[in-house]
Amino acid sequence: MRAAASESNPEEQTFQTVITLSRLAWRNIWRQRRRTGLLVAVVAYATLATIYFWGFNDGFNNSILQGQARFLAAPMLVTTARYHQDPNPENALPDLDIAAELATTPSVTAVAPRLEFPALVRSPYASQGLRVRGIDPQLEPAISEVPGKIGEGRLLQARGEAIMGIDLASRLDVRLGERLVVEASSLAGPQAAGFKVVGFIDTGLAGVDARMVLIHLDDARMITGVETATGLALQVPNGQDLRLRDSLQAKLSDELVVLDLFTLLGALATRVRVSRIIMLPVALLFAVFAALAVTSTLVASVMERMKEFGMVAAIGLPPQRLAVMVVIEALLTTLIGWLLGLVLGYALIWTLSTWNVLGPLFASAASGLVDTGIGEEVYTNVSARYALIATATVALAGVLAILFPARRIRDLDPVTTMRD
Amino acid sequence: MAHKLFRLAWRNIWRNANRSLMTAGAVGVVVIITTTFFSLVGAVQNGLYVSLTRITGHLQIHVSDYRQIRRWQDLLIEDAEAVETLLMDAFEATPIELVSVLTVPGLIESEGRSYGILLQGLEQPPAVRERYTSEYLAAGNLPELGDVTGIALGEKLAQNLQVDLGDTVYLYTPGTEGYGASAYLVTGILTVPNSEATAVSSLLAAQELAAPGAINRIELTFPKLTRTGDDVDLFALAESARAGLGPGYEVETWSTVSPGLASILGLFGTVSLFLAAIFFILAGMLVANTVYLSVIERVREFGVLRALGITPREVVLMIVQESVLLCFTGALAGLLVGTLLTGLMAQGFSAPGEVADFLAERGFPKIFYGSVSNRQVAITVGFTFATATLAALFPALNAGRLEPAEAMRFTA
Repeated sequence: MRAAASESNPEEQTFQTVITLSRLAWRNIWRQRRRTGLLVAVVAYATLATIYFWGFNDGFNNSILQGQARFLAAPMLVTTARYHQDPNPENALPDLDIAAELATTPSVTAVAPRLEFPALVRSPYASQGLRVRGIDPQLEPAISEVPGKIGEGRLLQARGEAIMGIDLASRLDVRLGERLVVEASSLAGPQAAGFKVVGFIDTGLAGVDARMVLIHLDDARMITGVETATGLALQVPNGQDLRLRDSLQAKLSDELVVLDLFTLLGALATRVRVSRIIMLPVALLFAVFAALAVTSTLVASVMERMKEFGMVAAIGLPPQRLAVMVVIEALLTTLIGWLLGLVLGYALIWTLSTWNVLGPLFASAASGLVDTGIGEEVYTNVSARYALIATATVALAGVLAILFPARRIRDLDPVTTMRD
Repeated sequence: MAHKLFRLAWRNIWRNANRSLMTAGAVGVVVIITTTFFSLVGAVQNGLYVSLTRITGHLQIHVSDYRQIRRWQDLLIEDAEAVETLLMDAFEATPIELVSVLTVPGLIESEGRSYGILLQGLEQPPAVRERYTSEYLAAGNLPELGDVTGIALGEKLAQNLQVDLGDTVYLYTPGTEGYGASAYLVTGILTVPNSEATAVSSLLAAQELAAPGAINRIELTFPKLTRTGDDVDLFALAESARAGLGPGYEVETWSTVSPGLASILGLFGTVSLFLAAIFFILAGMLVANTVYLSVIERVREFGVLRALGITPREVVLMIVQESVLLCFTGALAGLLVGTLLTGLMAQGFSAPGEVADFLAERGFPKIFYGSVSNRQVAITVGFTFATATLAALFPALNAGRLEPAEAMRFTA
């Protein structure tokens, strides 16, 4: 590859050399389909699997939180700022005007008013102090999973009806159709009302089955003397609560706050967060493994061509240039594999984050899923962060892999190599 | 002829040491990393087991048929100290942590606010108290042993009552056998689940208030049970407890008391299966690629052999022998290193300082123990072996289909 006589600029020469080597490299890649295919496959899989692993890890933990939230609380809740500090009915919402505006916000799919108050719940045999929640039976099913988990009986429909957790019913010795008395003392002074128990809630979550009593919103208003509600529960798409919080807060007056899932769940959420951290060593191990897989494929594919390299060197391509060409080949192939892995990886986690494929898969594999209160929906998370992690892994592997073989090629003696 | 084939295979291995090393190395590396993966996942699962069983204790003791009993008084274990002594005697040889609990439903009041709660009177050994504090205490202190005036409130309860550290609250437990009413100083704030209806006092305080000398629950934790696999020992331990206590008591394992916790462990098992699949696909690719590429280049060599008269079947046999030899060596080396690594992990390892503290505050143990089952090792070795052999066979079989002259010209 002697420079033509007209070339004078050394930088120009180097540039031309690299171009020519790149073209050779490109041709080589397509000439040997099998080898290229294997390398592309392993790089693509390493990238894809890394993206999937992180998307799954994050998403799975989020799904648990979402599942619990949909039973215990709500994806998002609007209350007065004072109520957030002091959850007493006297700090109820001043009016429900904001509900209409929130309902028309694009990402908010449903809005339901709730009135929660501390009360003494009595059966003929026992009594217990609890928080009772007044709901709108028409709107609540869009926000909460609880209406869908009535084991015996049905959801309340009118005033004078109540539903309760099945373990609570057992504790208070209440049967379907029997009466329950709710006593409270708030803005309306001491009040009591009798209810007919029309259904039992069976979710598998202790926080619900042992502690939840739901009555009609109007009954709650009568008992507490509150005319509005203590909170507006909002339904938003999975994982969007944090993102929406600021934009929703902007719509509210200063005395109102909108709370995201994690804030609502509090201590319950931390246990799940830990699970993410605890998987880090496994993720690290996988990264090492993936790097090794890419490395071994690269090394194997280069080492096996030493005879070919010897021949090429014998007909005139200097070994140093040959080494550069091989490095370019490796770079190009890795690039193709990496791009393919990115596209497939994000397609996979995007699909799994939009459609509930994993939920039924887990349900069939682990029978106790319901008991953990995850619900039936498991989604992956999507983030650009995963691409960074995958790229770092593949890049590291590529660099390591090419260092050793490149040296060998650069230092090869054509005659002995051809013979080997 | 078989003997000659073997000699050829043997010489091939030594003739190209680099290639052989790469193949055996690939198998070895895969075995090492996969067994390390299993050990890590096992460690996490063991850590999860410890953190879950610490919530309820490994065994819980109540009066017989306690689930059917309605009256609070009928749930009482009257002579608490005697029962504790019986249990300590039953487990003389085994280290145990014994927590005595008296739970009392009552009414708690501050200025103008009152709520129904469940008071928990706790008597904990120092190790348990330290863990409890580290995990649940958000501010202040837990009431000391024998403190009859201090109380710790759940976060939400304190908020509902609008009280903070140093304030006074009043507790009423009508219909019980103690004083029935008393005032307490808030000494601590707790981030427990159900914090809106939980208050914690010393056992003595709860007993004086509602039932002198009595408890209604005992929680036993066995520090020696550190792995999920140790859980089977619980049945024998439960029997020892029953034998020591005599009739009138119900001894239950943690999974009976809290099936939800048990299913969390089961769920983790499912998740780790998913992870294993991801790992095994990568493992397969690593081995298959390396081996395949090693063999495919030798098709020319096979062509020469074919031209010299060796049948395709014999070529394949030769490859298989080479493959088996290299895989065996690689797997053996991998197992040795892998066993060393997993053995070290089984002795116990910790996360770096701050991370370990962070985990401890969430209920996880400070030390994690790795564990790998024999079945996992067998699957790893078997899978790697099979993949390597298949990856070597394909090109060899293909070479057999080509005419010798074509094979000699072959480029991958």
